[in-house]
Amino acid sequence: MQTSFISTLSLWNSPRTGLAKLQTELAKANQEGVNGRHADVGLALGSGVGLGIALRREMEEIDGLKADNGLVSLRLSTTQASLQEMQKAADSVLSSLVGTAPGKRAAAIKEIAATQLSALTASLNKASGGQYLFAGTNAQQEPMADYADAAKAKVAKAFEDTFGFTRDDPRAASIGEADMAAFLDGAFAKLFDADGWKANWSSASSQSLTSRISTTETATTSTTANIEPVRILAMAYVMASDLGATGMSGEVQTLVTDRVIALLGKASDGLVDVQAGLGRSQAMVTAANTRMNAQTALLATQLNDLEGVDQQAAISRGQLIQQQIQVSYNLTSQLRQLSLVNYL
Amino acid sequence: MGLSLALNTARSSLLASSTQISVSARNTAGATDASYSRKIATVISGGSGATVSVRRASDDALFARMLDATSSLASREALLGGLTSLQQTVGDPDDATSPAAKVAAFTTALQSAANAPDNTDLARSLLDKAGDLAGSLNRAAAAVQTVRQEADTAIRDSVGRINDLLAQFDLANRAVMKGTATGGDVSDDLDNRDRILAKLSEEVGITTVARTGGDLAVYTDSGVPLFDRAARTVTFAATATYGAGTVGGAVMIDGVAVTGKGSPMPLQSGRIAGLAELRDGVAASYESQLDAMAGTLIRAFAETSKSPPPPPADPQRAGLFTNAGATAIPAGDAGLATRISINSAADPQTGGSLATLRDGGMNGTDYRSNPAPVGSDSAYSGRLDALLSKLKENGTYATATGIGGSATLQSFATASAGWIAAQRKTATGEVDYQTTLLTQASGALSATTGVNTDDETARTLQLQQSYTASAKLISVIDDLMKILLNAVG
Repeated sequence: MQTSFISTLSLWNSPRTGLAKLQTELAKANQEGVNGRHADVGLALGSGVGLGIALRREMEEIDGLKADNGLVSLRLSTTQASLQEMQKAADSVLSSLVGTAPGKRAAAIKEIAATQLSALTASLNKASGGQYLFAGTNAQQEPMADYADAAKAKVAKAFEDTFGFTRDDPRAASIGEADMAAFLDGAFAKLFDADGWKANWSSASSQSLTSRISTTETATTSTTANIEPVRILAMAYVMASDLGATGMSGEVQTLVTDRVIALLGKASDGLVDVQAGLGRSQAMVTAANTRMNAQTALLATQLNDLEGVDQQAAISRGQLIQQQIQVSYNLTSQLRQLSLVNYL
Repeated sequence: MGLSLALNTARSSLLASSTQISVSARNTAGATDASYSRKIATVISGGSGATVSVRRASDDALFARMLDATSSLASREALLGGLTSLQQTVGDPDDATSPAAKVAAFTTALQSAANAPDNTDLARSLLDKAGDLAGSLNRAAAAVQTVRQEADTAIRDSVGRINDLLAQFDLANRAVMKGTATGGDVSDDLDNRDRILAKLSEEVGITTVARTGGDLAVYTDSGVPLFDRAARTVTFAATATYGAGTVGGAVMIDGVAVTGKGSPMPLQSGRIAGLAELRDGVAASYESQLDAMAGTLIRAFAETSKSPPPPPADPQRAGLFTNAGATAIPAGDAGLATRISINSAADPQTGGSLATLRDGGMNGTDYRSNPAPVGSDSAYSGRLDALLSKLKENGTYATATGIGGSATLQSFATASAGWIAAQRKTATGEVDYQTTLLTQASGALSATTGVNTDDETARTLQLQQSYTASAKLISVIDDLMKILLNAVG
């Protein structure tokens, strides 16, 4: 009966049993020390891998939104510049009109208004980043036709239909104040209301663009050529340049120029409102970008906490494992010399 | 006569010593063979000297534990091997190769396109990301089928080995029974039989029952006889190719199915059990998860007919994602991950139009969402916005997928990636644990039944002394005989 027994094979294998595992661990520790991430993220985290993917998804979504916001900001600032240009032009026409003696006003602004009308059309047809800024959702079509192309004929026809003669007819001088006022409020104004405008001038959609600017917010990020201030401005310019007011009586001239002054003022105010509205969107975009930058930094930290490892710890673990392996080698070589036969 | 009796005893002692030395030599020769068990020569003193009987050191309990640990480890290793292949469809989360990451990229592209619907670059990128997503589902489904195919082949090989081993076992068992009947030294035959059992336990979990006359019966761990008086046949019909939803054949032992859902006595351990779990369980679940993702995509992007009532027979048709190009919305999810593809009507390279991404109408103008006439209203974002919110809606996923419940496509895809990683982590933990168990069990077995060469050397020295003493005795008796004969003569 043997009280204690061990086979030679067990004895010799004993220092080596854990060696393969130790070497795998060493390779892992080395990799973690270099990369600062788990050597095998899937194995280390298990179902936590899902969280890693979710965090990356959020980061990707935010990156996408930030890139989109770049385009949105560009559109907003160019739109703002155009609106400002229109509004300044309206103001300058208005001030030159007010600074002129009432009797000479109609003649003084006829040419200026014609120039500004074509400038307005050009502004409204401005494109940025491959889309027409004022076209609304119909972004690939130039929103405004030239005044001379269609609208001019309509204005002439409305005049003729009302008074029975053309604007440059000598009989125009005999048009009464009340008749003129009725024409301006009726047939003429109809050309510039929402429906008349779309039929004669604009191919823009009245639907302005809305964009998602952060994961939770959407904002209106464009305006269209169909908004009221633009229509009023165009009406004022047409009234001043193309009604033939210079050939009419003094009272009618005063009526027309007064109307122009009132319309220009109203258009300018309206444009300021639109600018303020888009300005709010711009501020929202900026705020959203700032917030998303902070969020990205936070997400990156979380991701690092999840998948990262302490590099120093990994390196010192690697050194410890190396020592263990050396001990194991040492013991194996010593055991080899250990045999009773050597001592006989 | 006393002297001749003493001479006979000395002679038998000499024989006993040399037999013992030869056993020691056998032990020394087998010292480095892990499956060799130490032979013990026992001297039995009788009336006319000593006889030697040889038996071997064995421990049935330790041996059974070793077999058990071998089976469990083989099963877990087979499962882990497959899971490691499946994990490659997810990859490192940082590489963004998983279907979940592709869903995220696609959603982001859809968001960008919805923010600038008239931008063809973004529409192009949306289409590319959609192609990526469909491709990643196709590849993952193909990987699953490869894993199932390989498992099937491995089961076939394993079944071949089992039949082979059972035939060898039959021979070894006969040798033991014959030796036992004739009272010979069966220790080497027993070693041989144990070696075959150890190999058998890698393929299938086994239990053994000892019968009279040295006979041994072998049963699977689920109780189906593998060997009882004669070897039972193990059969398996391998499936040559795996497609979507292919159901693999079951392993039959003695006419009883031991794998698969309908099995009355399913195997618990051994390589076959692990492979069957991989082929019919984990891989099939993962495939159904991929199929569910593909189904959700096809349904979410379907186009609805706008034609005036009565509605057409198929008011909904496949939009951006199709079931292998078909216009119909598939009724079930099975196999969709393999077949999901991009609608050619959206891809300019196949004669389609990118504008259909924004406006709808991949199935004709009746299915168009944009109310404005074709070619205008190019910044219409209604459909893209609707698709985006549909993509972010909660859907219901079957429990058969292993994840089940209500989730968005994104969270389901993410959970699927986490699921496969968790399965692998669990399997790795089990392999580590079973490896430790096996190391301990075989260490304990080897320590108890193995050979210690130092011990054998010391024993040989001892036997040398006894041999010398017996030889000396013979020479003394010889001298005594001579004296006696001289005195008489």
